[in-house]
Amino acid sequence: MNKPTDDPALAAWQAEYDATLVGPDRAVHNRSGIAIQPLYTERDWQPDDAPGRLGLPGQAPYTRGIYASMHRGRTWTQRQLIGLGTPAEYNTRLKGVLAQGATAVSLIPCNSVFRGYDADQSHIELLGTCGTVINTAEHMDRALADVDLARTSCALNDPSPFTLLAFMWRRRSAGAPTGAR
Amino acid sequence: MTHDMIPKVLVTKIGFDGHDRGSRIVAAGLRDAGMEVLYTPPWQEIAAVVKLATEEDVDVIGISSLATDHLIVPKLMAALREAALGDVGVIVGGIVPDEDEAMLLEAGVARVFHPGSSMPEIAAYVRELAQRCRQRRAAA
Repeated sequence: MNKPTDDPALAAWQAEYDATLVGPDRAVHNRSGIAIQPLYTERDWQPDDAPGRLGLPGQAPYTRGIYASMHRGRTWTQRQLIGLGTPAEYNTRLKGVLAQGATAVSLIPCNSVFRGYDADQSHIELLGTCGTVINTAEHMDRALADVDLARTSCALNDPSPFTLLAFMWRRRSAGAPTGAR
Repeated sequence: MTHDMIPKVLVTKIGFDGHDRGSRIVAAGLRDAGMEVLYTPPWQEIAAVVKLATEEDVDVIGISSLATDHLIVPKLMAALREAALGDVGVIVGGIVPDEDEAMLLEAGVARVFHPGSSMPEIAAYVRELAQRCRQRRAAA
């Protein structure tokens, strides 16, 4: 690959691939040390072949994926499920796993929150044992403090409408895009 | 007291967790073992369990806990005693850390069943416990 092509679809793929990559393309090698190209097509076997019906990554019919770079441009997300104690305790734990190499956030609200109870309506023995107690937007702010939400994918487990709203507020005040990705 | 009494058992979940597979399996297993079983969905209030136990005159209450809800079982025990149901046998099954098991037994729970317990083992124990509890109540 990466040679001049007269195939417009391939050229379009290359342009989109280059545009998608953030920073320089990182070299990928298999266990035998052989460099892995970002894309292989029929032409790698038979140079004169016309493109087949399979299409190219990021192009209809999307058989080879919806993005030109797929996991070459963005690797698997490392996202550990976390939910415990108070928002401050959650925040400490979250920043700990991010420092250890996690690349995304998972937030599990307390079961009391999930069932629609305020902390002061709940059995105190259960608070924070099965998730983080988040009853207010301020709790959400504290849980996600110092996390770059604009660049970090976030997952909420079983969000109640309120939890989702508090989360969206937090994202908006952090300047994060609110569209789906 | 005869040995062919039919135990009456309430199988339920208190607290906020909804993992009900275990309680369903145990309820069905006790039913298949010939017992009269009352089953409720999860998320029961403690007061609702006490009310049901009172109205239905059960011998044994089985609490299923998979996600820390066992921590409020001592509150259930206190509520049962307050309702003069201290002679009802209470068992807990599910995920209970060892250090919490001692706390539950201290609070009056008859026995804790952990993962790996067999249905015949549970049924035999519940039958024996129900007999004891009913005798105790008849004597009171």
